[in-house]
Amino acid sequence: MSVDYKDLFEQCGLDEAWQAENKERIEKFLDRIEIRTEADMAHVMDHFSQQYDTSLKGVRMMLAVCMKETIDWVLAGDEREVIIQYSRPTMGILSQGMHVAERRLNEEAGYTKYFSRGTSILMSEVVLGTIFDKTNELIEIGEDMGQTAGRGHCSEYQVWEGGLVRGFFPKPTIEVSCGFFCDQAPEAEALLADEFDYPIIFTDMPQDHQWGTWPRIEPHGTAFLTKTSDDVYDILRSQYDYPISEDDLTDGAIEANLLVAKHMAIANLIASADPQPVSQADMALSFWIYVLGTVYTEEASAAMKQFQKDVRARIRAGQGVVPKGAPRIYLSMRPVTDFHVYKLLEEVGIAVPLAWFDAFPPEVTNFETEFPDRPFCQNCEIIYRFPGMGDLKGSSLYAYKWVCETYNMEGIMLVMLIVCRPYELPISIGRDYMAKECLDLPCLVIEMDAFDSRNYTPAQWRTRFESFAEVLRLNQAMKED
Amino acid sequence: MLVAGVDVGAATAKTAIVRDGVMIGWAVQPTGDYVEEAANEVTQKALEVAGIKMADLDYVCSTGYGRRAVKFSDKAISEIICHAKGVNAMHPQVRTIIDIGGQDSKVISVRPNGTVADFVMNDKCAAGTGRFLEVMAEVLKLTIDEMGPEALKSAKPASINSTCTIFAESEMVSLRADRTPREDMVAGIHRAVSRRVAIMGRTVGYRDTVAFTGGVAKNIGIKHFLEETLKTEILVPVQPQIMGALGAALLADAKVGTTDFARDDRPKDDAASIMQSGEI
Repeated sequence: MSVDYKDLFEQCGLDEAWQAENKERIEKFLDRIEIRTEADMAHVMDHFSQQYDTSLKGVRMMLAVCMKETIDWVLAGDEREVIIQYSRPTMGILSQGMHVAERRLNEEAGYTKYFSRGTSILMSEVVLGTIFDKTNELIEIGEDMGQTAGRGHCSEYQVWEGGLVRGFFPKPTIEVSCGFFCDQAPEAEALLADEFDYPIIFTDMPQDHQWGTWPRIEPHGTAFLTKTSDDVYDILRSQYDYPISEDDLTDGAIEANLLVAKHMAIANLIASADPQPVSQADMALSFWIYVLGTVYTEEASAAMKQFQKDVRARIRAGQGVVPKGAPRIYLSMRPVTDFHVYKLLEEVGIAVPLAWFDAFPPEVTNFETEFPDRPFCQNCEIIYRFPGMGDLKGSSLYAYKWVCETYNMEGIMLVMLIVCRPYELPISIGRDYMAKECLDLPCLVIEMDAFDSRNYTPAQWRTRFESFAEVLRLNQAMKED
Repeated sequence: MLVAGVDVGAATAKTAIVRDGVMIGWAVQPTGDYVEEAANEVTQKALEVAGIKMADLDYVCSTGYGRRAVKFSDKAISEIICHAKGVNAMHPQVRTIIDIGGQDSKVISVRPNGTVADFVMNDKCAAGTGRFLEVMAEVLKLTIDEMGPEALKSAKPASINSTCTIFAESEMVSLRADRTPREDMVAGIHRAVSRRVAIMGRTVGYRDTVAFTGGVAKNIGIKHFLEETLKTEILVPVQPQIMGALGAALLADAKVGTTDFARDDRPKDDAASIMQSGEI
């Protein structure tokens, strides 16, 4: 006997017709992630209601995309013949080609033969964390298995290991591990592949370009990143019956860039509004969809368009999640599995018009490419220019300064991401940099684990946030005086 | 204007009564298990000292971890803002405040007008707080008041390597086994706490004059090692515990804090009716 999931799925934008068509899959999915009793579902509904504003149609539509991605992933072992998990590009502009290929190849096969995505782990962590409140349970299993902090590299991999142990996640046919952002990721993924006995291949990139050269970065870095990706595609073609084409990669690059543009448009709209019209918790759905890409591109695109309409409607109505005139800050990072931090900031009256990767300096996306003939290669070049990639002063720190100045921020909250070394490093010098470069811009540094919400200390965060809000309001009052 | 500032911290509750900007009474007591009762009791004591009644008060501002539990408060303000204001009122030359309370420590950079320029707080750890000293006092069979003077007797503070309260407790056992003199152990503890807080505050920066507030500011050992680490003389207000309460009272008219302790003015569309409209 399955639990009553109708309300949850409706709030997640999956209507009765979809539910009826996918009844067996839904029930198998809920059983797999251990939502089995009415008490389980009651807890889910309570937790979920604290994360999202499902009165917004765009939010429901974006949730539908995230839920479908996660259900596909959790059931992939039952439903697909070939599971290619491209684990950690974290950027749809690199992995969207695989999503395009999956759609094309399944259509040609006449059934859902392939699962090939760069979305699975992170998207499922968003859904299992913010909707089903399951990630901390998986982290505990990861810890029990020996992936303790430090050895487990970061809590993302504790969730992953817990998911494999509990059967939430399938064993892939082949794992494509990615060292684009982090040298720890391939190490942790190699350990998981060894422990759970599945093959793994690697892509890599020289994470740091020469310090002081940004934005005039060396083309050989981009060429290396493209080459390692091409090598992986060759292996997938020759050994795993996966004929991804150059057209797939090109179409994927274009699709991904459209999602980027849609997100940036929403971000700009929110950044130009007073009061802040929607919560960053809701905006985070748009963020994760654009960042990860999706196989459901049309639905995602429609969802983001609807969300943009929702934001406009709020602005026209003068509605906000914080009072009008609330001090504006830039948040340098986004959590993955629990969005309470956004709500806490709103409760204390701090507006967060923009957060991590919502806006970039023009040097990141607007440049004369060294690779004019190949869109996939151009996206690799964009990745190489991203904040967090390469020399800190040139990219990350300058990006903070650029956002704060361009969007008239009254403060900045730098997040010391204890889960992630590449993103922890800029923060350690970020405060001094901001003090020097953005004179008198108040800066609060907080520690956060993007995956493990057990590490949060709500009482201390509240005091910090309230104090920060009061500092910002006092600054406003002094300017008025 | 007659105002009460009530600072309910993790360890102690404090109330300052202020008439037209001048403090006319104050009181301090342990917070205990019941925050609201502690706030009531300490305020009654302060009112008695001031020779007035609760009904005479024009306004009440609360601060500290328990600020939202003070039911008779008109406004809640975070303690960082209040400490800056309170210290500024008593010692306007102060530009940096080190506040070490029962369960947290902060370093606050203060502008000449008493507003906060920057601050930093300890995170998720009791080392560098009054609680750390309490635990160590229990281990060494000393009262908390005996700790500071004992530390100053030492000519060779023991090296306490751990910044964790629990591990430091284990280190005490090892030091005792090595027959380390008690005053050296106590000095080592004080030096460790002082260094931890002092280093934390470097992200804010230290500008003279530096003041030391909170209950731990009464501990002369911590003051000594803070001065040694920072290489500067530190000012301790006569009543370092009540700076937050005083600041809260002085901020009654300021545009800070919240008057709605359960504020929730986010938009509430009728989700149910939207769902029923079948738009999705």
